[in-house]
Amino acid sequence: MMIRKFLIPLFLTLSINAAAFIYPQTTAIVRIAEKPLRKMARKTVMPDYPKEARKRGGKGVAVAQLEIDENGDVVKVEVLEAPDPLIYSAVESAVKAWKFNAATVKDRGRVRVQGKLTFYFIIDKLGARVENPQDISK
Amino acid sequence: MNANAIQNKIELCANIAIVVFVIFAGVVLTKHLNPKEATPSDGFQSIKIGTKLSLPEVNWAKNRQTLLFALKKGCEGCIRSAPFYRRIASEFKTHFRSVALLSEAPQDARRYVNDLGLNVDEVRQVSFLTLGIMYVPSLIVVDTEGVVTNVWVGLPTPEREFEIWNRLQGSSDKGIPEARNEKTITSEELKKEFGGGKHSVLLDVRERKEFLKAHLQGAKNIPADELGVRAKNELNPSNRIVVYCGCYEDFLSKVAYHALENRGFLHVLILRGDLPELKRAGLPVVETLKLP
Repeated sequence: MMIRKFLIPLFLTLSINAAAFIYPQTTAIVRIAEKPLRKMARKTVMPDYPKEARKRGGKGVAVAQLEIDENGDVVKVEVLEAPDPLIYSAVESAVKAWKFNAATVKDRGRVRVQGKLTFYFIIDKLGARVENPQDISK
Repeated sequence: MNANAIQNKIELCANIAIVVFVIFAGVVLTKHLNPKEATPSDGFQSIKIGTKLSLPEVNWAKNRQTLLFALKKGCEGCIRSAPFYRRIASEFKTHFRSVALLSEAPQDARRYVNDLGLNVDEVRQVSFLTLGIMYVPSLIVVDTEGVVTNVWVGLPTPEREFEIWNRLQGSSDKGIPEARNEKTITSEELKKEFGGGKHSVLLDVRERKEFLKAHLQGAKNIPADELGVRAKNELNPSNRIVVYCGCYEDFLSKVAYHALENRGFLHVLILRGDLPELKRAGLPVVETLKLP
């Protein structure tokens, strides 16, 4: 008799747990362009220009795609393009350290964000340096 | 151990077994009966083009064509598709009747549709199984006879969004992309350039993996969504730029064309045709995978 009484709340608890398992929390991911993404950044880290890459003459554009969680932390980085393997690693490390303000959507609250960041690795008479897109003018 | 104790143990085991069975059955039934969430890699259609649909109290002939948004509460793809769905519901309002279909109770469904910011003419509770809708989100176009003319399943990729947009534009006779007066170049004219003379910058605006599979010899790759940031840093506005994508109705090329035009690039041309066609026309193609 005691055990039967105990089973009812146990059953209810298990059912609620099962329902939670069946209908997991979902999170929206919003893709945004680079300009608004950079405006969201509260901590930026420029990639280093690896010495070996410079020696080899490795230069050009590097593009990283990143995913940012609801707290503004970078949770996933994929370097889509880099002119040198060492530059690839440098970009990946740098982008992982970026921090962003949380993105919110009306009536939805905080959301995950996906976007791209572009860097230019330049070697010219001024030397070797890394620049963001808007720093360069033609 | 007396008979009562044994009986109690048996009853306990039976009760536990019933609880476990009910939970297991609930999980299995829920997974099989609920529409699955589609991924972008899923098949193009769940219900088929040509299927005749029947919704209670709906007279298709009375309406304009109908856009059906099949959605489900808690579906991540539905949330992510919402911005695009909102745009098409608004843009094509005068040409299409829009109906949101959900399996939830009407009040819940209406609340969810409002949460998504989706402004539709009607919200309906339906049985997805009965309609043959196996995946959410799904976007379905139905003509005035109740026949499905287009179906798109899952979260649309940027390429798919433009395909959908162009199809709906075509269906609504709202305006053909050519009306925007993009300048074009033929493969014959471009072929002459490879033999000498005027030199254009060939710009392939597809995603990198597509570019790597095959591209026109000498082409530079900047995906269309990166042009806004990269164009001024990597392209010279005084150069003639020939843009191609080889995609459905050249939609990525058109996106790129207008992105460049808006940034002061006034000598942009679109090269129409997909890569196999351009190859057959005699343009040199670099390929890692054999083109048909």
